[in-house]
Amino acid sequence: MSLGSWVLGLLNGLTIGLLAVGLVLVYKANRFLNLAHAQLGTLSALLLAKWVLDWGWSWWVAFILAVVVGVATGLLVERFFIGTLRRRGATPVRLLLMSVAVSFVLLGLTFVPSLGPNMNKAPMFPQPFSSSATVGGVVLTGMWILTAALVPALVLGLAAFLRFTTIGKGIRAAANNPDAARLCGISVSKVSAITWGLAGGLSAVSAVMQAPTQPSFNLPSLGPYLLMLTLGAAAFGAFVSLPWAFAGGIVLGLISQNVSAITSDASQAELAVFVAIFLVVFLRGRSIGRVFALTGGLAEATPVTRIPAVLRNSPLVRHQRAWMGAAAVLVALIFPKFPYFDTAGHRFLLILVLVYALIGIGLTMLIGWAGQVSLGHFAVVGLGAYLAARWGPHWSLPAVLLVAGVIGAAVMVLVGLPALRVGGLALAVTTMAFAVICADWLYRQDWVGSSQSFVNINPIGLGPDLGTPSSQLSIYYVALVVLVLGGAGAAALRKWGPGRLVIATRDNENAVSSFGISPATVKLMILAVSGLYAAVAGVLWADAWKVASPDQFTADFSVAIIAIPVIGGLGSVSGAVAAAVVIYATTFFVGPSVSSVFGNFGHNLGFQLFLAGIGQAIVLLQWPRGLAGLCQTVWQRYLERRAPLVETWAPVYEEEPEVTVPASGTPDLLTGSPAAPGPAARSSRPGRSRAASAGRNGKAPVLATEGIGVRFGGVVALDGPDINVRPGEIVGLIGPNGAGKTTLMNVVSGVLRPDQGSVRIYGREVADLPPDFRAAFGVARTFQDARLFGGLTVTETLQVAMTYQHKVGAVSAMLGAPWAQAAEVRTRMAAEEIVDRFGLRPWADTLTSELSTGTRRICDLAAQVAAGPDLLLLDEPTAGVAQREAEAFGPLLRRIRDELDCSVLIVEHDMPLLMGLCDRVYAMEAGRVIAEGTPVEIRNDPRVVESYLGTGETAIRRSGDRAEVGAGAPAEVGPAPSGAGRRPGTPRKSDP
Amino acid sequence: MSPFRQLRSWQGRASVAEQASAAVGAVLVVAVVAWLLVPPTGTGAPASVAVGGTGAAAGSTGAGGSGSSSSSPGAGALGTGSSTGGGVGSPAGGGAVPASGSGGAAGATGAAPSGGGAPVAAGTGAGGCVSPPGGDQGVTQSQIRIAVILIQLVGPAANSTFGIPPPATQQADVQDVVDSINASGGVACRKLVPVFFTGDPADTSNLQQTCVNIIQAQPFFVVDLGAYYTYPQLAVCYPQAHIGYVNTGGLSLSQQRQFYPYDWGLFLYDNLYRDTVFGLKQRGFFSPSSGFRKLGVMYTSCLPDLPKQFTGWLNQAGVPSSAIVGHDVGCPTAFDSPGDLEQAILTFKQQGVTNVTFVHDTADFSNFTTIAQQQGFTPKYGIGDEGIVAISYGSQKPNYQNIANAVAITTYRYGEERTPGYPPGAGTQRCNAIFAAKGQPPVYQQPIGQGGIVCSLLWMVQGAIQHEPSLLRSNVAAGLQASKSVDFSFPYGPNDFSAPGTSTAGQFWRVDQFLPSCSCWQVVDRNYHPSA
Repeated sequence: MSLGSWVLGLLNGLTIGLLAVGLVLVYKANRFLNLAHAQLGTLSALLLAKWVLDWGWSWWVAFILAVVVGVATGLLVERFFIGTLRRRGATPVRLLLMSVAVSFVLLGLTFVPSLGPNMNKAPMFPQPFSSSATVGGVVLTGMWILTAALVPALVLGLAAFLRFTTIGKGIRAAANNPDAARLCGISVSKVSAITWGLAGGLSAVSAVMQAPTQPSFNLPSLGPYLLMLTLGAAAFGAFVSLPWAFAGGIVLGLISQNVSAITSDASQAELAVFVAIFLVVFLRGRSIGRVFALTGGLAEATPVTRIPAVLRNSPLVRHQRAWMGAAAVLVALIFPKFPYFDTAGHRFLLILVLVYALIGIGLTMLIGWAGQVSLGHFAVVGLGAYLAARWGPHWSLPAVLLVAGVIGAAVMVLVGLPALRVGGLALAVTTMAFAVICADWLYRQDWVGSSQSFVNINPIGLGPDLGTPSSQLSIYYVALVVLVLGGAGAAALRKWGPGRLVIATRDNENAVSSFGISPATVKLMILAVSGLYAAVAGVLWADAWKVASPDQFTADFSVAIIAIPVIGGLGSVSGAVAAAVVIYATTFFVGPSVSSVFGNFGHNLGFQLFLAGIGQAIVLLQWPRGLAGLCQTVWQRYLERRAPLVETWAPVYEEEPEVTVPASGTPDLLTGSPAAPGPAARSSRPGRSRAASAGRNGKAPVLATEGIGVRFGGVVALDGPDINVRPGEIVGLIGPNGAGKTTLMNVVSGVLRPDQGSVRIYGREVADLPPDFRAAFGVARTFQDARLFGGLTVTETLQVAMTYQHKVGAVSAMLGAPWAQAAEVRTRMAAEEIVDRFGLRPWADTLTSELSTGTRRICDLAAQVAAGPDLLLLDEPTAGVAQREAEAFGPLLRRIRDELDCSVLIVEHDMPLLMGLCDRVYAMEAGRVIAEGTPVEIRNDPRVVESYLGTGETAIRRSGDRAEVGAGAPAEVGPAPSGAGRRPGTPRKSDP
Repeated sequence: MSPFRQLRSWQGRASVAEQASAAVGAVLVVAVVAWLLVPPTGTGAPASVAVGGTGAAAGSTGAGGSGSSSSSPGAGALGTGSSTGGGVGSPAGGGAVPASGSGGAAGATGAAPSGGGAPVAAGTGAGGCVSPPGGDQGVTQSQIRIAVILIQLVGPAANSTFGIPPPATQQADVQDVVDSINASGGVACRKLVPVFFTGDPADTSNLQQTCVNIIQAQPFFVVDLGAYYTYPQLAVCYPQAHIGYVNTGGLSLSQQRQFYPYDWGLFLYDNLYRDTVFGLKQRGFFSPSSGFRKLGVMYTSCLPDLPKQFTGWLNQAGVPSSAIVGHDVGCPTAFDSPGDLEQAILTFKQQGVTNVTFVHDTADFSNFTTIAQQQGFTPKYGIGDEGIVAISYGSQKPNYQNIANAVAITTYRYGEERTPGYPPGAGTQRCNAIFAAKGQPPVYQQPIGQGGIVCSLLWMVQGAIQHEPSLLRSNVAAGLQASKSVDFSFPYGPNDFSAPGTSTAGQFWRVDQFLPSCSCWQVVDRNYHPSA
């Protein structure tokens, strides 16, 4: 290491940091990774060179104009691409793909000769001034001096702008909470446009600063390595901190430069950067996770097709998927026999289409189901190919597929481990780094690939005496078989327990934990399955190519293939297959014809990039839910048109009554039979721990807390509230906002780990156990928001709740193992029973995201019942529920308690309900218990009256109005007090 | 409940029949898994031999003379071929069998794809020429069909960016030269028939598609005008399919040996860089009296053995390891990162490097010299010419100031077209005559001497086939060696194919120098020196 290396590292780090700042700026405003950021300014740099070199303009004038062009580019991209898509509610991953399309378009423009300088006249990129200085042996050219001076000033200026100006505050406000910003009169779209303008300007400055040392403005020079550095730097700042992102850029620049100086080996420098990025993601995981939590779902829930009752027994409708699948397989079988495809070359391309489809299925699971973004999936494909090269000569194809798949799964898990705590963003960073390092280093290691530039791959036999598929046609059919099996396995996985868990984890990790499922395990599982698919695809890839080299598996491919799940419609297996066919068959077979339509110009790489980018953008804008959504819409229309026709001549089956789903309604808990589920959910809980059973038998308190302390910074949230819940009791928790009720629930359920104190369930200390472990002790809880799992139907939600007792592994589900089928049947039947008992039948197949708040709370309660708890924690279960249904809660909860023989700890502001329901009540204030006793004692406790209930006569009367409801006496609800939105008898949350 | 507990639970409830069925199923599953996991019988190599009659790779074993092929399905093709001796290839993949073919050679043809060529006994043709005996795919009584891959990088615009003419021009050039060959009697008493394909050097899928199409078309030989220049590793699919293949680039010695006799090139990297070291030594490049103190070596690790060998040759040439400062740029797909190049230059400066060379790192020459000029680092360059001289005038040109007086050890003829008074060689004149007859400019004036490339490659193939002991794909290299030498046109230099195992040209080198006065490379030592 020398001073010169530090200087070079610092200078390069400054430009990386500036790029990262731009990336973070857009992320803050739009909550997605803008992979086109580096390309926003390329046109500016080219134009600057043209203006200065060809037209003789002053560098400074040209620079200002170039920045203006960058700003304009950012604004145009926001206006016509990103903004349009965002206003349509696109998910972050869809926006990310749009940014890839934009990068293609912008790169395409750089190939237009008239936009660039005539480099024959002056081969060097123009410098701002000719003066130079030497530091540590490095000659600082004019551009580098400018970089050293301007970039820090720009970043500081930007930080000041965001911190002190009204517009800057608006940008930050809109970034943190768009809805609240709108309510404050901030135009979110205007803020977004300003942000993109700033980002465009920053990108232009970055491009101009880098231009003198860039070989060109094409894909390789602005490609994966620079993207990896930029993403890594942004990860330093958890994608939201501009100063940290800038510092991250400098740190990575210094690491890269100094390792290169020490080792004189570019690969080692990349490896060091890769390790650094991994460490950053690992260490900054929690911060990134918090940011990601604000991002919301990466993938939107796919609406359920509503099948009219008259058509439900139609064979076409009942077996629609099977018919479609069979038809697709049939077409795939005969496709290569068509005359056009009767060449080895075309059949080879058909194999590639099948391989891409298989990769697309794996990516769909990861992105669509799990909400995790991988920018390095093709690296695992490459790994599979190299494993095929290694073992192909010795093993049969099925064995190679199996072993490569397992190794691919393991590698994907390893790469994803640092990102597990976080989510899609972090995985995108680590996988991108993995993809870069695979192509540049890993594949060149003899213990993985080959130090030579390529490896031969011999045809791989099917097994002893089964021959070897060596012709393109036979390999095609092998690939087709694997794809069909892969598709069927994926469909089974999604349909059954593991798939539901993945969706549930994506939508609400806390709720999944409360049902005894570890979100980390679920994420690991789907990462592994996705990696398995990628590696298996790699084996087929190798079998088709017969050669493997690192160039075939560069990170560019990994970014490009994200198009498959997105265009297919996130989450749809068949959509992924269809998208792979549409994208790659079009590229391979239609693209050349389209290009030839445009004559010589059609063969220009710039034009092809432009065409590909525009095409991708149009698809994203026109069909936001992808091919699957498009097909679903068409199918839904068909069903709706067909239904009246069938109705005129076909009888409606009595056993399948048509269900009309109210647009906004709630289950009729009063007239229905909302009793507890009885045998289905409660009869046996084999998964329940021995500790819980022992505790129950020993009559120990179900729950006992002692000296719990929780602080949020300087705020004491819990200050030793000691409560206990005895078997069969219903215990209420009351108190004003900020009293610590929900915090206490979080501590008991394990969502929050206390700073001190003890939480005992049946006498066993559980304070250090994660939430999913507490389900083993019979703890279940609801959340205030009752979000549940937006991508699952009501029935599926109940099945998720029962998963703990009926666990099924991913492999079992994919293979359709008998025990998996049995578990599915059992949970389905039990869920149906609970659906009926809670009056949820009309919503059984409705996504929970489409339910009204009240119905969702009923569904939430039903899910808790399905879990069969010993201790049920209810956090404001009647919030948002209509009064009529809220009144039914008391009897309902008692019956649930009686039938499940469980205990209930309930936080509720509906005092009449609580007073009529509870055996005992704890009143809390400022994190402490201020009173404990029966409802009557609490109602008359002066401290409670003083702090919460209020001293007014009306308030006191209301707090006991429905005290007898629980005992079956009719309620006499008094007139509603002032304050919209509150039910009668509910104290003001802010009442002292 | 865990699956195991579920299994136990089920076991307790299930009927005897269900349990028996499950047991049988389990045994079957175990058997299938074991069958899948146990490697096929035989050693690793015969696993690839077990290719059916349509497998090109089966031929490789046959051609290599592996007797083990008789125990594989490929043996069926072999047996059929032998028994029918001289019959026309069967659609089932029998292929044609040479009348005088050996067992190994029979294996090669026996495993040929469906169809095949007509075997021909040695004899005198209608024109009085002597035809070699035998036959193979792509060979008929009157024709020898070869595949020619034209470059379609990204259309004419991009082709011209790299100094490459459009595909239509390339095709016309090939046709002109082929017409000339056929007009003078053809090849082995047959007309040479080119079948044209295009390849996009920037698109790996397209290159592979081209390869499988060509394999299916069953040519006798493949001539590549440069489509695989970017991804030469993908071109191994032709040798894998036992089809002779020649392109405009080089080969490593290990690759040549691995795919002999099917993989051809215009030079060997090993020879080129050995000659570079000793050629530079001859020029006094490493002499302290000419200012030499330390040598900076920029190298890629794409051919991992080459940098080590290069260091060994330098040591032999009297350059101690302490005077060598290496920098490994890895094996980037396109270019090394600017930051890494900057670091290399800084390291060279700090370590007192006075001279710089590049080993298999042509792509970074332009960026290196550009950054070096910015950094005030102006070493003496001495390079082995893998193509640097040719690309010095296009979009990837180096910084002319920085490379002033650079020396290139080259097997090409580039440089003579810009050297005043340099007379074209006989091969160049012959090629010029072909194009002049079609109204085209001489090859000196064509972009990168495109016409000369076409002439040289086709003459090389012509000479090889003409001298084959029998018309077999596996014998073309032997024919090349028998031809001893082919008088290439510009831009390729003289050659000597006579040594056994030879499948490349480039046995002679000379010296070019970049002269600031003309901003061009010129020949400074007109004598070709034999490779060490």
